[in-house]
Amino acid sequence: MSADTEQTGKSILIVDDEPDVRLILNAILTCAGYYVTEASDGQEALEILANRKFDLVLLDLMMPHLTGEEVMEHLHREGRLSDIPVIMLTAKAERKDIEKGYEGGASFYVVKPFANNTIKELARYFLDGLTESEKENILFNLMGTSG
Amino acid sequence: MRRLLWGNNLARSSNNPLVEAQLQLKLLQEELALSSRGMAALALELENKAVALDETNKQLQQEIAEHRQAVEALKKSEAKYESLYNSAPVAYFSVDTNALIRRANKAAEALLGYTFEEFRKMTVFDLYAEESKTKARELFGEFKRGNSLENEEMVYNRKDGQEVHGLLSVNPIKDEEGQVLKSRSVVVDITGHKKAQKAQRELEAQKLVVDKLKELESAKDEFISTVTHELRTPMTPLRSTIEMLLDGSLGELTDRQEKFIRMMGRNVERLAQFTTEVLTLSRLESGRFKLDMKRLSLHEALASVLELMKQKAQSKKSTVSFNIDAEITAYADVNSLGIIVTNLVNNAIVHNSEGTAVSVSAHKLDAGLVEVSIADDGQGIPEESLENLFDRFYQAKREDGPGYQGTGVGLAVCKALVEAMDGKISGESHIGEGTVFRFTLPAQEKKGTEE
Repeated sequence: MSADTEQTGKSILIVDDEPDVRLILNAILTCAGYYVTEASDGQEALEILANRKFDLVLLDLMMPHLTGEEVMEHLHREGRLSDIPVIMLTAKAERKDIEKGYEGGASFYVVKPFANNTIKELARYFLDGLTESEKENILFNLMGTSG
Repeated sequence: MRRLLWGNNLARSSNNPLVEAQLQLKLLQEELALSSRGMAALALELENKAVALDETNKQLQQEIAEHRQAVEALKKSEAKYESLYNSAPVAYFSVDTNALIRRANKAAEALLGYTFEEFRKMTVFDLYAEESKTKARELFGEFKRGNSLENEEMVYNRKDGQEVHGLLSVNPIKDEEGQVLKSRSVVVDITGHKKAQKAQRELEAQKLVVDKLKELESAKDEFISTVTHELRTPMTPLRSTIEMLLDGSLGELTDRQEKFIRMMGRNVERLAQFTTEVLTLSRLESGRFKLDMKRLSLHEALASVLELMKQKAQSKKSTVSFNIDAEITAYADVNSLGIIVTNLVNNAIVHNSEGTAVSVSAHKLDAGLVEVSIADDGQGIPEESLENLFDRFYQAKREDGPGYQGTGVGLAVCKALVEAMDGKISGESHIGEGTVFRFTLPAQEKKGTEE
């Protein structure tokens, strides 16, 4: 955490089995002023989530041990999805995967490879207490770039 | 018997001539009486004999008549047999021990296409197709040894060269001493049956091939899906890192560093685009690409896509104009439409020099179709390249064009997507004047073609 970034005080859990992806996401979000915690698979994510409160979860879909979908099911059963927005990250770009992601309770679905800005803007959308019109603006721009 | 009687009487009368004469007379009288009685008896006997003879004669006559009848019947039956032989639905042959064909019925002529005259000049081996010749010789040996053959599958060559499949049965005909004289051979035509069997086998083989192809297609799709995923995963941190380097998140860059990192960025983008296109094409080919066909306003569907392309054009000082009436609708999948138009507009920008004007328009055609055109005023594509442009991995050769290298898949994807939506795509170009790509889409859903 560099000294010159202004802290928003919001915390984000990054769940991805790829260390490189975690590194990138951590860098992007830390630079944007969020507290970031990393989990390398679904099992670890659930353990961390059981002990600490987070404001946003970035969840990879395809992981060993416990997949993103299974983590979602778990959170759904515990009734925690209403408290925490979850952004699904995945290389699966098919319509049926995306639909399945939203049905599973995802707040947003990001296809890899993503633009850094998408991650930053989504964090802003969920965490920065924006007005409705500001939020709409973000969504409009994101929809455009995800084509 | 009578002579003996005379002799006895004469021998007994040898002493007194009168007595002898009287006796003689008496004897003669007796004899006469006897004789006449004998005569009568004889006559009776004769008469009886005559009656018997007559009877015999009658019987004979009858027998002769019966014989005649029998002969007639025999002749008739022979003729019948002959006609049966000739018109029987199975082919009959008779072959002698020298393998010469001695008889052949009409069915045999019809089966193999030779006349009997021709058969007579042939040996039985001349009838068989190459594959059956060895077997024919073995079977002929069996026949000569006096053995019967039953339902041997043979292949014959017709006079016209066609193959005939037959079931051959042979009975050797022998003389009293058991020597084989000739054969009585029957050939049942099973060509139709064989053909049906062959067709069935071919059908089954084809089914196997189709199944195998489907399996391969699915394996290929699975493979491409895995490969693209594996390519995309490492691209994520690469792309993000390049982005962070360029936006200064990781510290200031020198101009030289920035130049090289931008080059890295362009290549990562190219790789990303290529993997997406290959995946799309593979899905389209295997039918796994799902279209969400809806009636949509072309203007609405393309607005955001073209907004992005306008931004992209600015970097090359080119322009993208967009002229589609709000009322024009098409029955299409909005994502696919976006991919097609993005590809075509992107090509028009990157394959032409700076300051190219690209215009996107749409209008209604007859027969319930709409046409979307993407036109540029660039340098044009040579005619010989235009033909192959939609082929996978084909890239038009340009001598004076900018150094951009496409993936060669984009237009193949466009074509596959347009065709998946029941449209057609074509290109027209004039060197030095520009290029137009046009594709059609149904204006609305066709009846009975619901997904």
